[in-house]
Amino acid sequence: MGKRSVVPFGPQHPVLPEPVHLDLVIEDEKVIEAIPNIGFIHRGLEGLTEKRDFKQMTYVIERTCGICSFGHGMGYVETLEKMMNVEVPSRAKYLRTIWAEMARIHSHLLWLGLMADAFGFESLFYQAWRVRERVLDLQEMTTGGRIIFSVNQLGGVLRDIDSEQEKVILDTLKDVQKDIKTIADSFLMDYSVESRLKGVGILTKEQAHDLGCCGPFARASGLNYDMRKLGYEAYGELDFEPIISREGDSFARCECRINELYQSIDLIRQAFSKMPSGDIAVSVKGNPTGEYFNRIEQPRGEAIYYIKANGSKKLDRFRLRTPTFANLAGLCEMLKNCEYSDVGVLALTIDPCISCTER
Amino acid sequence: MAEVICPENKMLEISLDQFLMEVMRKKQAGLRLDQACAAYADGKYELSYSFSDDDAYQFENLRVVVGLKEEVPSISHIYPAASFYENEMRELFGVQIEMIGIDYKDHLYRMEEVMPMLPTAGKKLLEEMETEVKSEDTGVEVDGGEQ
Repeated sequence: MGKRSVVPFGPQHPVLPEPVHLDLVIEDEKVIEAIPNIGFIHRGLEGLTEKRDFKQMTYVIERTCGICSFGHGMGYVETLEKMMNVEVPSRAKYLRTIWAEMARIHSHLLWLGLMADAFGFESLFYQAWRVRERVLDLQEMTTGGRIIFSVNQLGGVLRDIDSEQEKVILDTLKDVQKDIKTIADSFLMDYSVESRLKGVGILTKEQAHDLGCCGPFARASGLNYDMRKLGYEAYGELDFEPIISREGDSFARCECRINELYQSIDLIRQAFSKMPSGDIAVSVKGNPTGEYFNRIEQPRGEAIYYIKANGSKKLDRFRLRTPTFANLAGLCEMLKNCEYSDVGVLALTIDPCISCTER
Repeated sequence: MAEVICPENKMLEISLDQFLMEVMRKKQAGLRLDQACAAYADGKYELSYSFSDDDAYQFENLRVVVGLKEEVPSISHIYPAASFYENEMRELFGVQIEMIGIDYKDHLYRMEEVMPMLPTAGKKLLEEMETEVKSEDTGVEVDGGEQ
């Protein structure tokens, strides 16, 4: 048995977009154990929610994170709508679905760029983010915001998408799809990518289940678990199946995320083809009461929103369980027995979002 | 106690004595632990443990209501991922969870403020309970009474 030592990894590290620290117990060059440490960017957003008017809090919740911003706003208002028995207009549901899928595309492209950068593929990194820019432009055109849309409100949405914008979106997505194929093929078919990711950082289906993993991380291990199948917003009227893989290795996780890009484009097309005309919001009066757990599928996986309210303007409790928080245990498990030099790339395969995790 | 309004959000309220047994049942039924969280209500902690089914998307919750000083056993030996949720509950609310698998000793979030999510009323109640325990130990009445 070689000598064991503890090597700190992060919180500042070239491959990490956000601060997370791992204590790696190393024997020779092998990782024996990984213990995560967070707490560098905790902002107490859950606590703040209980001190302000629940309607104003949509603004705060959207700022939980800069990548999954739209999903958080949608998850929060949707929870309140279910508690208050608000029937959201059908068009608003479709608009939310379209924006949620655009957010998934820009999030996955951001991840693809970071992943390429971690491999040292500078051009691929810029290409992925160039394509992402086109999606951000669409978001800006339809919502006024590139990352934080601020279009969700209790009872619907604040903006509509007109037929001209719809045409621009569909035309742009055609180009985006072609560009993604070029980038994804050069990434997934690269010899060094395959050799560093295939068979590395394996998480079995049983482990993913036992550790409560979610999102593409869990689906790459064979779990058919996608909250969009619950049929919230317009997902119940769209035709899709969760993208899963059986291998459970790092390559499968990348492949799953890339295939979800095509799926999101398809879902946007379907949503536009089925979107009805009509109102985009209804007026909501009163305050919520009772408690409710709501689940939605964010780009990184299942996010759970829990609200407990007493009929006043201030909530008793707001709880947000983010996907990366649920995936931390899986990350530690998959790092066991990997090479020390692989840790950075493997950590990126779960697409960690630490701002969400710490709230 | 607030009403649980959604039928698919099953909530089973159990006592602390039944807690570990019920969690074991969920594990044996093949459910995953989805989340655990605490809330403060009427001088007590409401602990919610959510479980779900991978295939049918079934979602159910266990609710345990415990006193502020009551010890709650960790479920991290049944669900290893529970460690993070339990550390969070203890650090943010001060829930007395014992024997957590990976124990961050109230430093998961590296905060200076102690129990930041526990409302002032809860903190006051906790202080009173601690003062009572101290006076019982020393036999001194805290309100300036004689020994």
